[in-house]
Amino acid sequence: MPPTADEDITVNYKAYAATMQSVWFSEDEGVSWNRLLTPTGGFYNEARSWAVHTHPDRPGDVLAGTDQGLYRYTEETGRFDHIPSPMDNLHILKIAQAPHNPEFIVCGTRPAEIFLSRDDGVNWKRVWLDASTECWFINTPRVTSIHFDPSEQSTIWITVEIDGVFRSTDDGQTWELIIRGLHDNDTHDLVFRDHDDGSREILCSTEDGVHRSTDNGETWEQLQIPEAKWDYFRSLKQPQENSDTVIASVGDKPSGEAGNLLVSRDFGRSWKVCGMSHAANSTIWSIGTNAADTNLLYAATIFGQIFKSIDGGENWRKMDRELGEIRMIAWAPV
Amino acid sequence: MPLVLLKPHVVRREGDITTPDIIVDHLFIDFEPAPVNRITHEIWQQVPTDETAPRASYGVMALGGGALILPVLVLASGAVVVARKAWRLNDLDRHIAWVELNELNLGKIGLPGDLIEYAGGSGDEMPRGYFFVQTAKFSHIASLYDPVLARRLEHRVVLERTDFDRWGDGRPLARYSIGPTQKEITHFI
Repeated sequence: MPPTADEDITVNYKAYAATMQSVWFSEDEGVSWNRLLTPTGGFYNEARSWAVHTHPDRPGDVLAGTDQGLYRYTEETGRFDHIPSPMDNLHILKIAQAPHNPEFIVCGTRPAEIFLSRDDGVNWKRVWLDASTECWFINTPRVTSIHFDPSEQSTIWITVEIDGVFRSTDDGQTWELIIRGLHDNDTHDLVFRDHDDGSREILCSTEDGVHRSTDNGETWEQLQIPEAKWDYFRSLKQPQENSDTVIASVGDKPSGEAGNLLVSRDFGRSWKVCGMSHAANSTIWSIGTNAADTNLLYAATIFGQIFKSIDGGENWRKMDRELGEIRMIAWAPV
Repeated sequence: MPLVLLKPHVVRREGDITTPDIIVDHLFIDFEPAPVNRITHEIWQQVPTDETAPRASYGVMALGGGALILPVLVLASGAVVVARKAWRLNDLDRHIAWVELNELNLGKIGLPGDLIEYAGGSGDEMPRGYFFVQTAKFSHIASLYDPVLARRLEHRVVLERTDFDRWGDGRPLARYSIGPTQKEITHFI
């Protein structure tokens, strides 16, 4: 049975949801959700938001990517402040900050471009990313995930829908498309596992299943996951960085009418369908984890359901509150 | 790092429409570089009182599935007003010289292939981010006509002079609503 109490969760945290009606906050463990007050919140309450991002060195700060630019929320101000950037007229779909330096911000947009700031958002550079400018299926490709390499400080990875996996080994200045072996270039997310013997495995979620690379992305091989009812894998997350535990979200299609979650405890070699208190109403688009508590996870369907796990992803309880259309869910200590 | 996002609806010869969003970061007008921020889709333009007529033009822009051609109006004040509908060049490649801009054959104005070649491309492939404009005669309408496929893209601007004020002498002060408070608020937040 799914858990019903959160007594094991001791961290004081907020949860955040990027939706098609701006960013929602929960201060009571996902039970109730609210936006900032319209007159004082700092951005339009019906702005489309695709990304919320937090950094452990900046507790309480949230970067939000929207269709009106990049915004920063702080607990001190209690509002979103606009960060001027060349992305104001683009859709900011993904945000990352370097683990070693929160002033190093990377944003991914639609159309698929990468913008870097090394000074906390004061100055920006549009880097040399030769992503496709047009896609037969979705017309305009877009960035679906950004990852600072867990071992190589100057290496950054991104996935592009629909174009593939890109890797930069020079702090994002130049990028290389690495798609050999992928059954589908509709790539969504990545997780990394660096073993003690120096070997590395990477998993990549795509429209056509999960792929594994054992040569740092040079080649990919599709995994067989008979436990998955569908092929459309979206989010991959490790509650603990560089661990064997991976939570994967899957659905019947984008946006879909059904979905579920799977957990692997051996980095993708075997999978188990997670226990869910309710059926998902669409593809589960986003999973929110935080190293501050590896047992606490959130997940959101694209059509607004919020699920929470307090046992490391084995079981998920649907929260009563739904939020229309959710593109990303996250939580962080405050 | 200036850039402009264009949102053309691309009408294929079969009538299908795709809607890519395209980043443009280099503009050339009659082969001369021009600031890319002059580009706009906004057809309602405010112009100086001594503004002369726009130049009917066509534009060629890079796109992954093949370059696009679309009507453009270049205003004397500098704005480059780009239509929201476009054609694929590769739908026109066999009869491009017979395509007309405001009743002039492109063969007489200058062919898109010349612009693409100047950009370093070939066929319907050109470097990403480039937008080339070829101007023609003065007109408030830019009309591309394809006599072979019997279809037309018409693009017009609505110009309003800077000395025109729709409020006349009665322009009211800006107001704000008290919203749901139903109280008198002397100073907004």
